[in-house]
Amino acid sequence: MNEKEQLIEVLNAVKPGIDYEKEQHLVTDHILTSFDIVMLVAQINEAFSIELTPLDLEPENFDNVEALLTLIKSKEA
Amino acid sequence: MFGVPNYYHLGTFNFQLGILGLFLTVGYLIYYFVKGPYKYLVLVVLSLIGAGLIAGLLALMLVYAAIVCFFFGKWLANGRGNFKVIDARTDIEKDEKMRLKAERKRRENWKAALAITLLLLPLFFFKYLGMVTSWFGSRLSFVLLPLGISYYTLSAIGYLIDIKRGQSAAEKNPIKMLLFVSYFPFLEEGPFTRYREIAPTLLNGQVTLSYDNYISGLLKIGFGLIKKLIIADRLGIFVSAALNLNNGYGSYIVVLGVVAFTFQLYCEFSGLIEVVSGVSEIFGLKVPLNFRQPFFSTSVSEFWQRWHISLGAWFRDYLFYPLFMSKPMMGLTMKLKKTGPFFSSFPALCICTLFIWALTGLWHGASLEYLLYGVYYGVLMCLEALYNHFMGKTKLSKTVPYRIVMGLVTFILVNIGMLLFKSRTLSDAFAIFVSMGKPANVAFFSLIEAPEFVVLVCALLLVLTVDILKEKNIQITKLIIEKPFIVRDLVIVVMVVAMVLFGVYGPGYAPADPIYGGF
Repeated sequence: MNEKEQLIEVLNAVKPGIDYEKEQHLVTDHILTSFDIVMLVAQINEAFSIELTPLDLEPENFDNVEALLTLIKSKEA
Repeated sequence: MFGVPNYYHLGTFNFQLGILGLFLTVGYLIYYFVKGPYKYLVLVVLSLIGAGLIAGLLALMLVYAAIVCFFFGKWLANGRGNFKVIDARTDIEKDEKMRLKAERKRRENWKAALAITLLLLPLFFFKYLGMVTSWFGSRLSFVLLPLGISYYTLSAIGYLIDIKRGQSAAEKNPIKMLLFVSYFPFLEEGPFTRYREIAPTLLNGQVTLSYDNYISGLLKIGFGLIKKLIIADRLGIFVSAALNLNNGYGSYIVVLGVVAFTFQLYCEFSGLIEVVSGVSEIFGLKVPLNFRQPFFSTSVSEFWQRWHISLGAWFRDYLFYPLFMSKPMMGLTMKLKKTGPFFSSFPALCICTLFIWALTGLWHGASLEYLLYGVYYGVLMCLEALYNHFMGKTKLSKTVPYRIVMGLVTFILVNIGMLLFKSRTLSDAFAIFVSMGKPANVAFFSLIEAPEFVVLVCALLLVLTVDILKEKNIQITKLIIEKPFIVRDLVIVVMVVAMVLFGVYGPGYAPADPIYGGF
């Protein structure tokens, strides 16, 4: 399983029923709430062994799968 | 007709409208002719005159907040520079760099804590001292609250946190700092602003003063005042009678009273924010959105993403996120990881949500009733997260009838919240709730005359239409601006005539001060 598939699995575990490959504005279109985002942070930290901080919780970092992957990669580096 | 004597009562809302009118004419003319980099000087003078006229010597608290922000902002910015100096050193090992950075971080935390304490002290003394001393049997408290203290204190704290986080630069000009905390349209009802978002226009004069902006601003002011003067103040008269326990009314009269209060608060608060937005637009400034058609929400958490947006965003970004991502909360989540993604996070989510909503309640006012008001929404949001976890997966949750039912349930829950918000004591809230099951004891049209009711319904339908258009992403002000000038001017004339004819003021009425202005 690559990182993208792993991320989509995490997203579906936190909030199912959304086409994450297609959605480009998860935060700006209010699809993900602040509750979803904090749950997602806990799961991403665990799944990818990284440590996201409150500074990372900008809407542009969580708006779509690509943005999230970029954020994860920047933390892994 | 205008009630001339009422118009000159110092400190009333109508008096503030008079000041606003003065700003819009004299202030705008001066602002227009002053060059961009110096425009902030006009705004700071206008803001201080406005704050001084309304709040008197208490306006000096704005200067105090500006001084704290200015000096601590620079100090915190210097502290961030020290991290870069440590990073750039080549004479020490990585472990030593980490140790120095950790030490520096502790020092920066203390600096930020001291600055935030200094900003919170006046808020505590003026707003919360009475509540705390009452726990010990004392009645020590301040009668007056400095204008806008609950708003500019949180905006100022946000500014310092942003500098500490490296998300914002420190302001180098103390006069601009003073303008950031005292910008006059924000003092009465907010919204909360972020320095980094508003600095280019408000402080650095990067504004475009166009005729379109001017007309758009006037339209927003006009619509906002229609909401306040024609709807909210008219509803306020009915609400005062319907929910007055001494009147002994019951049944549908009390139910309508609670619903009317909900719409009163919405029309007043969102209307005044439209005025703030309109005034700012005339001066070339863009104000963050504070309301987004809240009554189209299908859940309580969605309602709070649409109602007083800047307050929710402040508590989310500066308290909720850091608290949830703190070591104890993340530790709790990790301990429960075997229970799955939802249930491992849920306890931490509930703890943080209840704490943040208790604080949000207390922000509204220093009393146990407001604390309960906040906790009420905190509990609802925790239960909603649990409910959505199970129902969100079902096909039923995607259907239109389900969304309509959820919209109605949300509306009822919000009205119960408004009942708590409106009641002075818990026993009053309970008594009003109980009276819904008692006989009405009065005819509806003896509390509001039929012509008044017709005006109210027509104005509410106008607000509903505008909200539906906004929900469909159609900006009505833009549509009007694109019309020929005769149509644009006619709309403004109609608004003014409507306010003069149907606004609630005059010798028979006491002008109502904004409810949120009291916070």
